[in-house]
Amino acid sequence: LSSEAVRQGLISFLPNLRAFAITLCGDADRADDLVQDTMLKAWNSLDTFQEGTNLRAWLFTILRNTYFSECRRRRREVPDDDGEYVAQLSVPPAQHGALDAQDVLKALSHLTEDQREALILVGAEGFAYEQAAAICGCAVGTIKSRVNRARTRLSELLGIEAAEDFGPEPATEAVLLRAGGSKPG
Amino acid sequence: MPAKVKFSSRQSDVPRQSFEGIQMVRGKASVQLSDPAGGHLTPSRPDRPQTRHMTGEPEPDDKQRGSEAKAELAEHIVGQLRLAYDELLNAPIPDHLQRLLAALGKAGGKS
Repeated sequence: LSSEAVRQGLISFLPNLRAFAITLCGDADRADDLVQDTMLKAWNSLDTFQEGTNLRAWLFTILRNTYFSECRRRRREVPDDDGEYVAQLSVPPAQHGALDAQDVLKALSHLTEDQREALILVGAEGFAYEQAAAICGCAVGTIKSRVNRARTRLSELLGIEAAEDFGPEPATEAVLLRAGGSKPG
Repeated sequence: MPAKVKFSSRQSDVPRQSFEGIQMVRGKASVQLSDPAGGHLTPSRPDRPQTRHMTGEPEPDDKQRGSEAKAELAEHIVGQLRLAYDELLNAPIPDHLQRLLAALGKAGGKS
């Protein structure tokens, strides 16, 4: 793979790497350092990339491994066994079918690391279960289980018990408002 | 009201056993119990349980509704996650990362 192709890959996937890094470590500055390390490692490990495989998955794998290596060094953990964070985090859903992004990201930060990365990779990044399993180095069934648990946990953290709690989706609401002849308030 | 037990008219020498008001006859293929509602309850063989799929019986509405609601909730949760994640994706890339990319391009790297 040419260095230019990797550079183009890094450019196009940089926002994704950065977003994934922020959700992993919950800190923008630390995430930027993580992305920078990932870019340098990828650049210096071009010979280990197998042509024909997924460059994005390869970059995500490097970022993830870099993050967990760093975590092992730092030994930073935020246990939430007593559920105190959960109580603080429960927020009422917005009326217009969308929660505040910060609330969602905050709730996300209180999932376990394995659940969080599985949900982001599959739910937000759109990786297939098989690709996510390869990135995380675990079985496909494990990823499915983690995604399922993460979704359940996230709904608990956000205080959502049913889809109706969100209210109508923005598109539905717009149609309803238009049909009713009123403007959104 | 205790369950009644219907016995075959054929008498048997086999002794009967009683368990809390329900009598069972040894040697019979099945024991037919009558319930207060008038129906007959025939215990199925424990080694060959019949599933709803086998009997063609539809799934209970509550269960179906429950799983549909669960799937819908999961879909909404992921939808909310994507909306939040999009904000991260659209965040401006810091200058130092862009400068690093530019530097890597100039350096050429391995091929």
